[in-house]
Amino acid sequence: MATPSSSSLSNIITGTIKDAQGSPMADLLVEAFDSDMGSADDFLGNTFTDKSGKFRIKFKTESFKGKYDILEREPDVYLVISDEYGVIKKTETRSNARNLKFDIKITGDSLPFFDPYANAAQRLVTLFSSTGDTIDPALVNPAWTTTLLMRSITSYLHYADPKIARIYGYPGPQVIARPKEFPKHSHAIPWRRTK
Amino acid sequence: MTTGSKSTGGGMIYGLENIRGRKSGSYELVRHDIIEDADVCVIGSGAAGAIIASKLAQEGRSVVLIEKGGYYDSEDMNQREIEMIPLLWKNGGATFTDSLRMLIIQGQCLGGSTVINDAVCFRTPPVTREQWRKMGADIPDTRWDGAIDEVWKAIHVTKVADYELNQNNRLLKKACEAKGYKAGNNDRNCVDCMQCGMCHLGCHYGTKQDMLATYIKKALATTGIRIYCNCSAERITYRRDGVADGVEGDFVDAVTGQTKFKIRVNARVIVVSAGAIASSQLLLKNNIAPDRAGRGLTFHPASFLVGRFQKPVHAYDGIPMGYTCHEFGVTNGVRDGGFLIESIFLPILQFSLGIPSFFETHSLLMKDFVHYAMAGVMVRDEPTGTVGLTASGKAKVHYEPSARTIRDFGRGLRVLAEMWFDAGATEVIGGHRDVFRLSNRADIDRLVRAVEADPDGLQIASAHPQGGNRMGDDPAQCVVDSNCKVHGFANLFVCDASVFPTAVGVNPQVTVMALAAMTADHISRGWKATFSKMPLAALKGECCSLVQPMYCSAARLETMFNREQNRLPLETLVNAADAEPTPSSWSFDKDSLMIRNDNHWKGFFPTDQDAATTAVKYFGGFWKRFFKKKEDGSLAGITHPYDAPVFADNVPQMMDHPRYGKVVHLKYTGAEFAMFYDLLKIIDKDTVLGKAFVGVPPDGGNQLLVFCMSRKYGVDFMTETDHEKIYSEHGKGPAVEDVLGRWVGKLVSDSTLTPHVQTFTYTRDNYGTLQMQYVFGNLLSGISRVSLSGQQMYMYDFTNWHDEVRMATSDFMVGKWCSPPLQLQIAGGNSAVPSFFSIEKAPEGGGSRLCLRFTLRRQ
Repeated sequence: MATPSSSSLSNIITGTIKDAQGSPMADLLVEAFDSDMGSADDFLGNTFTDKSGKFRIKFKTESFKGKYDILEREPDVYLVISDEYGVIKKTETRSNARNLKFDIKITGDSLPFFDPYANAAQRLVTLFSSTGDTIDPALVNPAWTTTLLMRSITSYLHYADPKIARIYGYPGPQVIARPKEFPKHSHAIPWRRTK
Repeated sequence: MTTGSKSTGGGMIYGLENIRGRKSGSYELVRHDIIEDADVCVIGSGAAGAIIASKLAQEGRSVVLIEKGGYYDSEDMNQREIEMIPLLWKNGGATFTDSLRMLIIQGQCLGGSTVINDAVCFRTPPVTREQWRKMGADIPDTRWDGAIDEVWKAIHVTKVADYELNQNNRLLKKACEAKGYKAGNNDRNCVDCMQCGMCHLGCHYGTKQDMLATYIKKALATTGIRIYCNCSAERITYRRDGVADGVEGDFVDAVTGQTKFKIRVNARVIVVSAGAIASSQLLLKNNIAPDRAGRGLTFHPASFLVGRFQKPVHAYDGIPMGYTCHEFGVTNGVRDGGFLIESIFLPILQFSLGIPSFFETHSLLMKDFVHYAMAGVMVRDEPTGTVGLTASGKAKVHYEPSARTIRDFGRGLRVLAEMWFDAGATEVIGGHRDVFRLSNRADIDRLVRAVEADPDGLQIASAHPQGGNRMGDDPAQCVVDSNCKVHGFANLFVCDASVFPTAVGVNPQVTVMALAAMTADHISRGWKATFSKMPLAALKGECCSLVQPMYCSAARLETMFNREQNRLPLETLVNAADAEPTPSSWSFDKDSLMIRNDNHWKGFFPTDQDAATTAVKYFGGFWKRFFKKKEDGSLAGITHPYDAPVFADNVPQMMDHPRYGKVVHLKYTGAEFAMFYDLLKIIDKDTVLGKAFVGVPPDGGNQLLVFCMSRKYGVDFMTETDHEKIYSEHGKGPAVEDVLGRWVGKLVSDSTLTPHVQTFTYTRDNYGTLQMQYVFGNLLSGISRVSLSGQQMYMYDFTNWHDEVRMATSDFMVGKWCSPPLQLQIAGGNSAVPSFFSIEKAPEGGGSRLCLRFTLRRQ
């Protein structure tokens, strides 16, 4: 691929965008930028993907190399891809290249994962707070409520952690703490059965 | 958005939680507001909602199912109490009655309580069916039996085999047999049960045949059902003639409690299956059957007794609920009240929360954990409970067990304690907070006396809330008819345990499922003739869309601006000749509560909740006005922020922008604003998207913000001028009957309204005088004196300010809270005082006064 640096010539970025199943994704906005250290990134060009997920962006050398950009020789290109609801992917930057071909796959992994167990305490607090003004202080028996609170604290300290609960002879859960991270875990019950 | 139904596959669950390792293809992350059109919208995915949604989807209807909880499959259930309870239990297991007297446990996840129950199945007892028929719930036995047989088969109910009874259940069995009581093994909806004893924490092995494993799974595999999780239904919209046309709700992040996105579902039929308590709450919040909903709740309150045995029992190991004593219950023909004694055991944390006392005594009791056997007395109580709304719209449950219920508890605890001693227990624990350790049979009398003398000390919990939206033929007393259709509505149904006229007397899941099956069949039968002819609304609620971009987040506005083309010529921007509201340039539509304002383009900021956007939203509102210059007919504009005496001149010009294509470039001509410019895209005659920059166009400079502008907006975006126009031209003094009820208020800033900050509840006091109870920000509450004049309603609180309120429509009022006339004059008019406040001429005497403007919507 010849890459003459004459500013009159156009530079071309091409590529295809496919989803996790490999089918082409149409009508995505693809915007190309030149990453510049220390100043705002230069906009190179944009287009929409066609029915076969293909796109083609042409841009001139002036787009990334201004009159006084003596350090800038070749563009450092990255793409920002958005559907009708927002940005779905920002590609890595490819340095010092003029004619580029991107093959992009949009998978579920490009969205952040959520750990259902990590925020158990915070969830609990959020859920408790939804109790809000449903309690009528005038009806509450203070002594009884204090007992309840004390007991909750006692219980939480002693039995929330299965390791501590084992001291009381309770063998605890029979599955690993994060079943999905080890898909081949055992589904047998390791307890000593009473029968 | 699909209106037609798909017949094969394609069912999808949507939610906010992208859990690693989930089988792809059936779950998608929600990333934006959702506007849906469907034949049927079902709220709640528990025993009732899942069946109705699934059955109707299989009949070919397009179905949207909304669930407040998240979606967790069996591989997510890790049997850890502190991790699973916040995921699966409503309010993290902390739902109490208003006196903190009784804990109420319900499920809140896809599948509802069926995911966390003990899988016990009882056919609806004949006694209960007959009693309900007498109360107007006209369901013949053939219909009951048909529906029960259908769900019985679908959820694979089998009887617990004798070898599956663990030591706990065997001890109860032994005791029942010794007494000669009528008793037997339970039926359970579980296939090849692993007997892990963790039913309350969701079934890891996928053997429990909950809604996820049965109806929801089938619907996902064979229909195009769309299930939205983490989505809390807040509004049911309906027309005055009793046609419900849609549901609106919020996608709420369960970890932070923040609303992420909105949903609007336009549907021909709406089914509320949010569960007892929540269904009544939703009806009350939407002013549906406000005089009937939320009454007559029953709970099946249960109190347990633990027997301590010499030999280890290991009750945690094995099916928790395998055996029931029917002798004293409705299953043995008992007509009034009565109770069942059911075996039960709990994982250690739940167990310890139920053991009376705390600290050292508690630890000493817990030391013998493996030696305990446990069973509960579940009383068929009377419908004495109520659900009401708190000022913030939450459900407040009030319940006092009736005298008969307390007597039944006395009897039941006596029977159970005797049974434990018969079986060889050395001690019996639980029951009453003052008498909770019985060391021999003589102590049983002490316990029963304590229960009868001090019923408040009885330890009770409920896992079966029922009632609140009573079923029956009498529209004056009941919420729904025998087909679960809400009286007075053509296409709104409530179907779950909340429609039970009385307590069913047995574990209710099969009864709920049977009612759901009947309701689904009723809707299917009437589909062609009735329900398919219901109008499908085209409303967008509070969802972001190109035609109402004021509801969009910054990210959405940014994307819209980048993707959309400028569609109309520059002249579209020109406003009406009048700069102030006139009949031709300003109008208010009472039906849609929309304002049309062509005096200027009103600016809107993104809906994001961050501090910067919020500040600019409430205190940085602006308008832009465009006109043709008299001298040469060229276009010119003015930008004015409401809260500053700034009128920035500008000139709009079409420009070919390298990135955004054809845009309107707004060039500020005054020297002080020359470094700013705006780019606008005209979307339609009433909608403009914009971005503001500092720097030099076209591609120089930095983007400051993204915004939109409109000439048409809802009352939730009104300006103080709009407020005054509605107040003076469309408002009238209400009569007493017009205002009775609950109203929620928002404060009016020029840019946008606040969220709900106040609740006004108008009631008649004992003397028939109208009074108003106010709650501000859930903190400040009090009573205001109300007086009505033909012109307006006055309200006087403890300050020397007062309210003046006028009614615009029967569900919408505008008002202002005004100071007494001020001594000093404030120059500069409204822009001299901060947002929310406005200055006007005091009617009484001279001088001006300061007012805080607000709107009130009926709730």
